[in-house]
Amino acid sequence: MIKSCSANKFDVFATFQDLCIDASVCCGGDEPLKIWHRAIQGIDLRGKRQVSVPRDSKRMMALQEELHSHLPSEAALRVKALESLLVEKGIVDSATVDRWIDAFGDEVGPKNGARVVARAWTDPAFKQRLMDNASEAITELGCPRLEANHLIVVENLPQLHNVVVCTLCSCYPWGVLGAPPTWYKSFEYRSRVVRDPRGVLREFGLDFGEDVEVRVWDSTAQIRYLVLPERPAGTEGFDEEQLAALVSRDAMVGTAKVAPPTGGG
Amino acid sequence: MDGVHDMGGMHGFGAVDPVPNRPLSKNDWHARMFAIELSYTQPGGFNVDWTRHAMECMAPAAYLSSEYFDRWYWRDVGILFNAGWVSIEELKTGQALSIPENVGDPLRPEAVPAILEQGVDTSRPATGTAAFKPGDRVRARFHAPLGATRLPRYARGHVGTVETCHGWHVLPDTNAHGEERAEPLYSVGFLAHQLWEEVTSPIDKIFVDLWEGYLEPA
Repeated sequence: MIKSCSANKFDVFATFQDLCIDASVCCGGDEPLKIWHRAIQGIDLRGKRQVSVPRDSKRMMALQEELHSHLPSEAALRVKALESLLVEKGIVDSATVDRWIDAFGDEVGPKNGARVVARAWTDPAFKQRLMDNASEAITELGCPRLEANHLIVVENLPQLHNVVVCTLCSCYPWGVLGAPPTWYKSFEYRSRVVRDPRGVLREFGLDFGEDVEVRVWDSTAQIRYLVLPERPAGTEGFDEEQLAALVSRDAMVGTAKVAPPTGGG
Repeated sequence: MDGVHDMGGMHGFGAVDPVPNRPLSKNDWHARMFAIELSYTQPGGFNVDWTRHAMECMAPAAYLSSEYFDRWYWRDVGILFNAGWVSIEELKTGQALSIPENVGDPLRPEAVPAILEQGVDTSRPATGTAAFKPGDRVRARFHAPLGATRLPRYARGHVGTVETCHGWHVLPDTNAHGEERAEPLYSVGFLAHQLWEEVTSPIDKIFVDLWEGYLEPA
C-alpha cells in the first residue's frame, strides 16, 4: 500500500488519504510519516471509496426535505436503523464504531490539554515551542493530532482573556480536548459569545473589568485554538501532574479560570 | 450559504446552560452517531467541507429543532442518499435492498489510532504570493454564495486587521463541491465595537479565520 516515501508526498498519501475525512493529509516533514508507519503497520487498507457524485446545494436541500418527510421522528430508532444498514452494506464496521467511542471515552480528552498546559507552565522552552508551533509541540507529549493539526495556543494574561467558539458549526481541538461539551455546541453559546462575550463569560462566573481585553477566536477554518490559562497562585513547587489536575476543560476553552488549589494543595 | 447555521450575533437565544457532559456510552445513540460518521467518512472520498455543508442544507426549522447529533444523522443520510448508497426505504427499515458497488472495505478498528494520531492537514504549498501581511487593513467582502462558505455573516462588510497569515489552505467554498483549491488563509481581528453597535469596550476583539478571496484591501 505504501508505495514510496521519497516521491511526491501527495502521491505517497494517495492511499492514506482514503483514511481521512478529506483528501488532504499531513505532509509536514518526516516525523508524521514515522508516526503513520508505526500506527498503520499491518493494517489492510484495501479498497478505496470512489465518490464522484454531484455536490450541489439545491439538490442537497431537496434531498433533506425528502428525507425529513419520510423518516420517523425518533432519533434513536433512526440511528439504530442507519448503523444496521451501513453494516449490512459493508460501509461501516460496528467494531470500528465501538473503537471510536472507546477512543473518545478513555484516550482522547481534556487530560491531554491539561498536560500541555502544565508542561507550558513549568518548562519555558516547551512553552516557546508551543507558542511557535503548537501542533508539533503537543506531539512531543503524545497528543493525537486529529482536529489539532493546525493548532494555535492563545495565552491568557492579567490584562488579556481569550475565549474560543465556532459560530458556524462546532469546530474544536479534539486532539487536546476530546469531543466538545454540549454548551460549546449550543445555539446560545454560538450566537452570543461573539456579540456579548463579557455577558456570556459572566454566565460562566467570569467578570472582567474594562481594563482587561477580551478576545474571541471564531474557529471558521481548520485552525484550532487552545487557551493557555494563567497559572494560579499557590502552586509554587507543584509538579506537572499536580498542576495538570487543576486545569479544567473550560479553562482551556476560555470560559473558566484555573482555580487556586484548595485545602492542603 | 445564508443559513441558520451562521449563528454568530443572532438575537433570541438565552443564557448558556453549562450542563455537564454525559459520558460517551456504546449504548447511547448520540455516541453511536458520532462514531458512525467517523467510521464511514474517513475511508471515503467525502470531505469535511461537504459534510459541513450537507448540514447547512437542512431546512432552518429542522436545524433548530434537532439536537446536535441528530443533525449529524441528517447530514450523513443526506450524503449517503445523494451518493446513491442508501434509499429512504432502507433507512426506514434498517434492511438493505441492494449492496452498492465501489464502497471498498469498511474502516477497520485498527485504523482508528492512526487517524487519531495523524489527523488531517488542510495546508497546501503556496502557489503564488499572499496578497496581505500582518498589520494590513482588510474588508470582508459581501460574499454570500448559495453553496459552502466559511465567511460568517457578521463579519461581512467590516474592516479588520490581519493578525497572522496561516499559509495556504484548502478553500471550503470549492472543496465542498468537489474542486480542491487552496488560498492564503488569514486570522483577521475585528474591533468588537465596530461589529456591534452596543459594545462599549474599545479594546475587545473578535478574530475570524478568513480566506484571501473573502477579503479586499481597506
